[in-house]
Amino acid sequence: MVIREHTAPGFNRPAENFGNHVISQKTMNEFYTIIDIRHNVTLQHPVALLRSDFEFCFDAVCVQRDTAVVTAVFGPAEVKPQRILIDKASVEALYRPKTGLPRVHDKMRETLIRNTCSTALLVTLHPRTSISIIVQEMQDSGGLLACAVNAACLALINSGIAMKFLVAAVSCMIDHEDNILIDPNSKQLKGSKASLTFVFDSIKKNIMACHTTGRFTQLQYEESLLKCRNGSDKIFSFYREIVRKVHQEHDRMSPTCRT
Amino acid sequence: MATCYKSIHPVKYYRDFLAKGVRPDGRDMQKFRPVSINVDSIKTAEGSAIVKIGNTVVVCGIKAELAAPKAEEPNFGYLVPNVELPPLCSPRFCPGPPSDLAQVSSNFIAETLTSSGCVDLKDLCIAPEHLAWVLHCDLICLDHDGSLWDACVIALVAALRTVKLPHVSYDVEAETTVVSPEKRNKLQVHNTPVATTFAIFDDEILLTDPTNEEESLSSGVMTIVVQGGQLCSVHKPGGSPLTESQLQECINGAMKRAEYINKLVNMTLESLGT
Repeated sequence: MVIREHTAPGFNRPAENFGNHVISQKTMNEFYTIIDIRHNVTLQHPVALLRSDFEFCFDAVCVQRDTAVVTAVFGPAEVKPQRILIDKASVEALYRPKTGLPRVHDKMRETLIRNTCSTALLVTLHPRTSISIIVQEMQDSGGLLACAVNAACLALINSGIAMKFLVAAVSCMIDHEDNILIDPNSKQLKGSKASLTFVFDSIKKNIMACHTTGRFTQLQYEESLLKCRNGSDKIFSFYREIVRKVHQEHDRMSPTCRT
Repeated sequence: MATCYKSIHPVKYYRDFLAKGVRPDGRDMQKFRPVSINVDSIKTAEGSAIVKIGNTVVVCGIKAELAAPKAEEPNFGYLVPNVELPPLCSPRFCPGPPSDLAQVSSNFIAETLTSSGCVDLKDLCIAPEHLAWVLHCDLICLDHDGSLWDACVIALVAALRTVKLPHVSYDVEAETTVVSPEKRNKLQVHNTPVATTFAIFDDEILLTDPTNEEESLSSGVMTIVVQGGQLCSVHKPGGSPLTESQLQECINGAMKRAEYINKLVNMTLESLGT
């Protein structure tokens, strides 16, 4: 089952949309575009790391403007004896950079994705199993961490593993004139004083995870938090939209299975 | 009896204490553990410091080396932080290649250094395109009992402030380097960032300066780096969600702590007579 969403490519987005702190519904499709969400597709590169006896593989490709990430979720599956947790599933995240081997800063991303997903998942439902999330970077043009978290969440939705809540990540930057820009590209990031990435939960929109670089005041921090939180609403409604479309497609292809 | 109870149901044991507003080690929620700092402890290093927060001990040694700067950044020297977590410091770590935590810690320290701008890498350049200092900042944890990053950042900043680099003259034409170890200059440290760690217990109780036990039982950890009234880093790698007011509380706590720690480091350095 393949659903393709052809929306206007992000780079056609007019420049005045940046710095506009509220993302309108119209720009949402440009802000977050998903190209593919499908079942049981064998990924060549990341899957090569794993044994082939996994029963479930679900993946999602997440494209945010020009930043693209592929994620695969395996599990709940058998777990290595040293990783076994008797009361919950052991969640692991593997981050693969575009080229070369994972480096030290990729470990930070891995940790963030793993901790975020293990909080979002109902891990206690699957004791003594492992849930692996493999994230493959395809292209980075700003906001890679946010894209990776969103891709991981989409893959988890697609996998059907029970979750407490969904997560959405939004990145923003503060430029030298103290303006806050949401979802900056890599060109804009070069002229930034600080960059911040927030992950929110879908229930109360509280802060699940946060990663920042650069210096900023407490006021700027709160302001960017507020703007990113507003942006996260759009992502949550986008998740809903995607799931609705997948179900529609599913119903259309197998009308007898409709419940 | 209490030890039995603790080992059978550690979370419940903690909950019973926290319900009374006190932690098993006698502190209340916002109380920090005592901090002790010793600077210039390793004579063979260019700069060094030992920091103790409760039982957590981190030793920082800074070694200097000469190298050619990168072609794309000819005016910059290098600052290479590395956090080592040997099996000695906690039963959690095994011998072998650096653990995930050690790598994430090294990355965090490196990011903190760049964000805070505490050392201007241009100061480390001796002759553009030809010669620059490489400062290897080795942070070794001797005892890991929680709030590792706090100890690492304090140790690193204190050690950087004791660094004295020998005077080096470089002749570009002859390509000769003359090092005069008896003539030493202090390294300029522009900022003094301070990190503070908080643990989130049972999704709502914030524990300041957690011990290792508290960190492993808690549902999330957050580290805030503050520098002169500004925020350098707010690092929360997942874990249970926090509300804005809780975050504010943490930031305020971190600001207060930064003042205290900076005073302590200044006092220690003054006692050294530098």
